[in-house]
Amino acid sequence: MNNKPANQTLVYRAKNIVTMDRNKPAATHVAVREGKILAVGGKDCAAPWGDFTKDDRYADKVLLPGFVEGHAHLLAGAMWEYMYAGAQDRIDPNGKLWPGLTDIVDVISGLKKTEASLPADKPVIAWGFDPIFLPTERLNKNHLDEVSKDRPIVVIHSNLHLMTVNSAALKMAGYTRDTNVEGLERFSDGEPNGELQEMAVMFPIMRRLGIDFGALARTEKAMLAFGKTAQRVGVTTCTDLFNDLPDDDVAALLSVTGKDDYPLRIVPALNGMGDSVEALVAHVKELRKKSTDRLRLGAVKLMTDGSIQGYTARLKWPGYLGNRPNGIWNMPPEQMHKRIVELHRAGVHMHIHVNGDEASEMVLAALDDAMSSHPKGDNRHVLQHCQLADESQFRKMANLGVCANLFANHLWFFGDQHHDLTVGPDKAMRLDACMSAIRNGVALAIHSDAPVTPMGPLHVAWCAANRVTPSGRILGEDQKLTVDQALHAITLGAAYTLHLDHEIGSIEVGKQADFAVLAEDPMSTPAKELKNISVLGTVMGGRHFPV
Amino acid sequence: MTDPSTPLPMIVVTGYLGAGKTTFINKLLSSGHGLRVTVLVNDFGAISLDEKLILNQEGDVIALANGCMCCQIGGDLYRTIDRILEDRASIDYLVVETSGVADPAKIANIAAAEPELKMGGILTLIDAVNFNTLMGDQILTDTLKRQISVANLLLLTKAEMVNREKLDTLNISLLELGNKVNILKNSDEALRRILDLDEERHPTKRQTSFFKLKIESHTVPFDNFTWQGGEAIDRERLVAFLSDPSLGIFRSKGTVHLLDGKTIQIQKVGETIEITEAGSVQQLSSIVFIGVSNVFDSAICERRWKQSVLKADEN
Repeated sequence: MNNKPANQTLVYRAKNIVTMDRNKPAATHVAVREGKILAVGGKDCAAPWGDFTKDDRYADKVLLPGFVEGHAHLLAGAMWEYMYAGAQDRIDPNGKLWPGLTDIVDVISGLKKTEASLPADKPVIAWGFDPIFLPTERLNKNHLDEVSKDRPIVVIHSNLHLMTVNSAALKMAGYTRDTNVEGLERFSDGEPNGELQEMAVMFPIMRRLGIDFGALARTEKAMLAFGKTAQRVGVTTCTDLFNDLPDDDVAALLSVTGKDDYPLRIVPALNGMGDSVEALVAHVKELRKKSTDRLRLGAVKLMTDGSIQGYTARLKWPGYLGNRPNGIWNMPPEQMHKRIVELHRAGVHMHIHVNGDEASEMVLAALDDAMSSHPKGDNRHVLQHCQLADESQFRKMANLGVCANLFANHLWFFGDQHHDLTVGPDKAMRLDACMSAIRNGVALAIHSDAPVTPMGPLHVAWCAANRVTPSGRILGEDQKLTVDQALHAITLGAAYTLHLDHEIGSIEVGKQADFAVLAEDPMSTPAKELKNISVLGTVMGGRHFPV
Repeated sequence: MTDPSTPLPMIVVTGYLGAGKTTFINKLLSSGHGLRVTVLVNDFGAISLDEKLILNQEGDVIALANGCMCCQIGGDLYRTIDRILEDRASIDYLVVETSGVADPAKIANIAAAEPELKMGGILTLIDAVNFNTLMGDQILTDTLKRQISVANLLLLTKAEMVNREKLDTLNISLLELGNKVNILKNSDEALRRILDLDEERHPTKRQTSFFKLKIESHTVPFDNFTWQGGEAIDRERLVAFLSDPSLGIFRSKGTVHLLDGKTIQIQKVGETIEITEAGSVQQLSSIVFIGVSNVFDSAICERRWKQSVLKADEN
């Protein structure tokens, strides 16, 4: 099949079409010409536009607008270089199912299988592991020594802040019971147990084994895998929110996304932390000129604080449970404030990472200052993650026209941890307060931050609509979205945060023919089943990508 | 890769905006000590300014592209350190100048963990003029406290721009926050300390580095007198004692049982004396008086305490 959008008019019949267009919420047919939507409605919807050809390939399927992932990283495609060791089933970019490893015995036998398949001089590296989902004792070096005593075994946890290694790896890094380093975890007898917490103590292992995620994410292979990862979960437009975007990488991205068989529109955001504002603005202007339909350049990403589960997010009083110290700023707040004002003045669209409520408050004050001193229309700066914002902050976002892209997947993946260990029940109950955004009139998107959690907008929507944790807790009944609201947040809502809502995010005339092809209609599926709906493929710009 | 048996010492230089990190790094690179130093700077795009300041270099300056991000996997800091360790034949010291808000302990932990590096210590610069204002900003207080509490050496900059009294008060706050590490006011001396220039041997063969040095009396001229006892104290005499300028008390703290039967808590910082009633009555009092040694003498303080306060209740 020639995967180029046809110049003729094709009318696709579907079991149902959920358009996300309020004027015509449901339809059975959509007409496509030149990669765009020509008409939506019944079987004759394209008749006024002349001849058309009927195409019934989706006759027993449900079409939605192609999903928009508003916060992910190219790294999501690169992780598959290594063995997947997570507890949930996952499908790799090539369609291979990796069944979830739900206890330590499974993890060990999985590692043994990988070990047997590798040349003798290669280390065994796995990722996606999360002890929180395993009911048994915590993974330690003794388990991994069963896999191999000689070659290094490294199991990277899903949060990317921890790893568990075997004795051979500890030895390679020179770690013994006499090593005095924070983050080198120990058995009760003082012997290192193989768990390494935080980058400083993981670094000696990583550099000796050549584990470099930054470099991995920049390969063409990773870009191709990223496209496939997105396609399998119905995503047709995806961000890559923090990229240095040197010329070589932009050229590679242009080449990969320009291929007829590439299924994804990528929206990268430039690293806004390294350069001076003048240099950044100049870089943004250059990037804008290189922008194409499938590579949308020009936005900037700023990082204010860290993560809640890593205890590095900046929290307002009363802070973290257990008298832990507050988190860290990535840039002095007054410098960040100034940078936000100056980038706004230069007309740069900003995605601003804020996890803790002190960080979101600081950024809102800066944006208020920016907009008061340099009024401009339709800015749509986005608070990314924004997991702990309170009602007053949502009111302020609404007043400033600032969007919230909330990390709804956290509710499932880290919700119990937040309830029990990090911020306590009160704040956990309004973690990623989706309904607060909607009630206050804040434009809302929800996201996965892949690879931190797996890409999958239907899973994210399921989280936002159910707010359930692995232990069965409901984190804030009043914050649950309806299915319709949740679907909006992964389509038109996310498109709005990227300034792309005039082109994508709903199935209406004039927009890109971007569809997610589903087995069932989410609008008539119970909210608790949302994540189980099969994605059968995508259509992107009129080109078909079945899975 | 270099022989890991001679680990490269890594020094962390930290301090909030305006504390003079760039000036210090400039001095480090241009003061003719003959050592080869590679400096990683973290200045969010201000590098062009720094290059003008950093003249006559005796080493390399490498700017980090995405700020500190010391806790992020794949961060620029790690990639750069890895590159330096791969080709470090000509380096005596690695210096990391952090952002104004970094947790220097996290960065120093890299040197503790990596066998090819060794901890060279944390130097924290403090802006004597603005320190109190910055500490009053609640989104910064914990960050600044952390920078001081993990420091192995403190350098007070712009000390000549504040008056003696303010400087003494500042010294006392820093002493309390900084676990009694050395506080220097002279950047040349700080430089000599961190690069071990007072010793004649090659740095990689040195057994100690500045972070192991303990407090020394000549750099921190403070003295104190602590009293504990069961005698009840007259309130007015106590306040008069605390306020007596001839005693030179800058800092005092304690719980005191009064003649009127009440137990009070006392805080004195500089000129400010705060007295609050304690939650429960305690018969045993305990109070410490601290002052700068050129105006405060613990022996005099003790004598006067016994004469003018304790004797009072015998009447």
